[in-house]
Amino acid sequence: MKDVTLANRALVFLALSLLLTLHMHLDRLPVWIVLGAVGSLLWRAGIHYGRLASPHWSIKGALVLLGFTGIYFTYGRDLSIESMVSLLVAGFALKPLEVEKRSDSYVLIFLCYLLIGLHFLFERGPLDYLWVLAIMLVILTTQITINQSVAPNDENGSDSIRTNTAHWQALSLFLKALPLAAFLFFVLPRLAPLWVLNIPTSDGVIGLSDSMSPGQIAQLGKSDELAFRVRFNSVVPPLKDQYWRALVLDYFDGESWSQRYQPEINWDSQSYAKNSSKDVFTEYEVLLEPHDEKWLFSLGAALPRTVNVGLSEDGRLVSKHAVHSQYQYSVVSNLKTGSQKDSLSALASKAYLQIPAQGNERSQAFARALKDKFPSVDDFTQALQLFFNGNEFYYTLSPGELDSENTIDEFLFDSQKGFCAHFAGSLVYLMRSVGVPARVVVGYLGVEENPVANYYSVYQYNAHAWVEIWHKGVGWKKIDPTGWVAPERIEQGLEQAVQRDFVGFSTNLPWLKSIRDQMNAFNYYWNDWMLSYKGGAQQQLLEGVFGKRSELELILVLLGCFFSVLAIGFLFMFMDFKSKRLSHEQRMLVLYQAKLIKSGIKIFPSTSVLQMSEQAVLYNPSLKSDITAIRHMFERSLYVSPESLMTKSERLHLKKAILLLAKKLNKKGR
Amino acid sequence: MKSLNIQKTKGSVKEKIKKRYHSWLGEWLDRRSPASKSIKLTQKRIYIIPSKMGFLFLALTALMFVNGVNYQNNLIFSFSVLLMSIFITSIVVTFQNMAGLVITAKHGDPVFSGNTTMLHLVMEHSAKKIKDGLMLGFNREKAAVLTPIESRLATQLEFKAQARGRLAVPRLSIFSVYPVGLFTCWTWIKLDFEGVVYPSPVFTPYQYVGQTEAGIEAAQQVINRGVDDFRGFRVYQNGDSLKHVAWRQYAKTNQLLTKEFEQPQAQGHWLDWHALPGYKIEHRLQILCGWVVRSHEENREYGLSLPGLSIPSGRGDAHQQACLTALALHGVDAHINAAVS
Repeated sequence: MKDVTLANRALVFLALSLLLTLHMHLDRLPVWIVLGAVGSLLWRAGIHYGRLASPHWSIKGALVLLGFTGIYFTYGRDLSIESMVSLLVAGFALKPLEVEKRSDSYVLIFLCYLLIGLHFLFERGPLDYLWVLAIMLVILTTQITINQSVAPNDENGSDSIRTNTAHWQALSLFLKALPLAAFLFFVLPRLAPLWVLNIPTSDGVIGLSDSMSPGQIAQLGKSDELAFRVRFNSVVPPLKDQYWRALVLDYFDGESWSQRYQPEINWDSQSYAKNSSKDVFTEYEVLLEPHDEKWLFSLGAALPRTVNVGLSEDGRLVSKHAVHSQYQYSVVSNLKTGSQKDSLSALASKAYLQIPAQGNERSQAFARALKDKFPSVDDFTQALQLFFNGNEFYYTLSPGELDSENTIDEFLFDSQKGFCAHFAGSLVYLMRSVGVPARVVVGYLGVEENPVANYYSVYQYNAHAWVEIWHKGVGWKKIDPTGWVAPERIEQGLEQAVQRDFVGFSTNLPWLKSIRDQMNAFNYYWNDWMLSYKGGAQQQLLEGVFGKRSELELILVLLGCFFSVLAIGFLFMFMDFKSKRLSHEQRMLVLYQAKLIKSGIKIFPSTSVLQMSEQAVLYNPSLKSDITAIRHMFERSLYVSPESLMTKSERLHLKKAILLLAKKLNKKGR
Repeated sequence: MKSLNIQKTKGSVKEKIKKRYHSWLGEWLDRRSPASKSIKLTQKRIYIIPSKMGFLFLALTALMFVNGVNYQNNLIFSFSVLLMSIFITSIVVTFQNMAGLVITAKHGDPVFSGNTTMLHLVMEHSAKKIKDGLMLGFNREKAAVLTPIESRLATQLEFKAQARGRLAVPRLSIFSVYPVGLFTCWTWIKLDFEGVVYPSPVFTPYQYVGQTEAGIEAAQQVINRGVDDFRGFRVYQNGDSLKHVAWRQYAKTNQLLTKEFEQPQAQGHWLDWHALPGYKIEHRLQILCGWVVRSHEENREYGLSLPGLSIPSGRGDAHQQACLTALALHGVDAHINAAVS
């Protein structure tokens, strides 16, 4: 096809689309790419105004090489999404130098689409979505502009020629495309990844980590980022049961706790047997923010209700794949009974009794002395609680550094200032030093209700660590030493417990809190419908609409729907209904003919109104006046002049007359 | 050498197939949409397929889709679905931009066979939206871009006239990729343009048949004296030969004047079919045409005599046109009549 040189207007729009696309990725691009893109745009403008020459191919080649080298030096050899996007942008930035013809600009426009789409790899908020759609409209306008034959206000001054306004055209096309897009979105099956991609984003994810050194959780305590959302399908458990277990740490190296012992993971979900009437089952769904890890969050003794979620022997839920995007799973938890096990395996008891061979002698001596006084585990625990209560232990988010080799000693007997991690760690140490298997559990404590939408949020500042100890014949039992020291932490949440330390996100103003609730609710619905609409949710919706069907049936029904919607749409577009439609007069004539034929009068399609009347009069002379009246009505509208169309009242009158006549004729026929 | 030969034959086979295809296509199109004066573009006539850029766009959509699936990213997924939907919707929009257009053939300027003429046509529609981005031509490579059509557009198209006779214009193509360039929408229309193609003039000396001595003499005189017999100036009138415009006077006075010459009073300047025995019909017509053209240029009075038709002596543009049209249509309608009866 003929390639057309671009008009001024198209070039301006092209530049605008390019800049907007660039702006979208601005904060994740190295500066030199942005400068290069702007430079190339300016060069192109220079060419347009005849100030600069078009670059020679060798210069273009050199620029491409330079771009590759720059990417290599900026990102090194590691492949990340950022480096890939940068590479794409670098190529994209050089493209304007080549754009002269229409076909070149298409390539640029398509690259714009691709790049604004890739924005969603980094940002997933509703506002980001709107922003991308807005830019898409600008790009669509550009695409339309380059196809217009004459741009308005062209340099030739052809003002008299009007064209469609490109942005309204773009908007209308977008709106027309929207229903089909929505349909496809809700209905198209979500495929599993076609190949495994392990290109991580280099943004760090804030959250728990699989090792706990004192102070780490305190850092989280200052972050108000969302960890996950939860929707309870049964009664919301009381705060004392809102311990979200994520990790069980068994190994202590003298300074930090980590996970060494790898318990077995069971991937087949079993069903719960109701053990006793005391059991309380809680059902809930968790919508997890991506944390790039495999562990999941659950309450009490949990059973997963989602495929690819396993239950490890230490009672945690584990995902088969690391969670890189939002992930939803449902769980049933038994909150009354701890995980029931009669005995620990040799390996497990070794792991849960491990302490470093040296160090913390004071603590060990203290524990042994106490254990001699209180030989039963329960009494020993009571004694420890008294010890923590009786001393000036202080709960704070900024406990200061513990710098001696014997951190437990230093904490228990000197500083006595700590966060949950300190209390949990030292309690486990004390337990283990007298031969009671114990472990640190890390997760979150508490939920925050969103009153607008029916769900609860758990934020990073809900992060918590507590302890589980082994009772022979009973199983693992939860103990929270933080509660001994700062009961308000457990009862009222972190904000109350460390009010002095909170500065950033206190929500005392009610209206601010309500706005935050509204925003959160909106975000929640957004997540629920846009981000995590796949698999289960999709199946639920489709079953709701089409009823429960087998997969094949469902696919067939959907295909049927899709094609019939498409076919109806196309039919409407392509049919020329107007030209085929009969005028009101013609329809009346057809009605008249039909009625007469029904009464047994011989009428041919070519018979005129006059002939029809004559035939009718012959058939029944007594109705002559009626027939003539009808004839006159027809003649007036059909033959007098083209302007004398029937009015609505005339038409109704005529119809009545015809029907009446038909009745009379039929009566006579009988 | 051998391979070259083979290639040649291959090429010719390909050419043959192409030719076959084109003639078959032409016949099919003729059957489907016979020539007429005015054509309304409806879904029967409009064809639509993805353009090259449309396929590129599909590839882009597929890429986005794979991205969305591989990252399990619903937003990218939804974006790719949106692009797909825009692609599908653009079929309808592209079609609508062309549908409903009524193309009416007006006339073609008279022209000598082998020369380029202007075809006049009018495009109208009653849609609310302006029809934009339309291109018109005999083939895609040499199509003219039409200005946006709000409701009516009178436009012209260059056309190289072929054989003499009534103007016969091959199928025209109207096509567009508007608005988004993802689909090419086109139609083939065969339009009846009013107009004649004159024979291409062949210039040879005059020959006369069956005339009086005086007539020949007079004619001879004219030829001898030619345009030398200057009588005076008169104001230029439409239809005067440009050869007789007094350009020098025009330069001086800025007024167009025509030089007048003594007119030979000869009755018998007849351009006669029978003066050219032995020539083939077309060649005869071409020579006669040449004579008409030259007589007109020389501002003579002349008459034309063809079998079954004679145009009395006269001069001026209208007269010339009548003569040329007679030459152009010689035997054409008779031929049609014969074919009909």
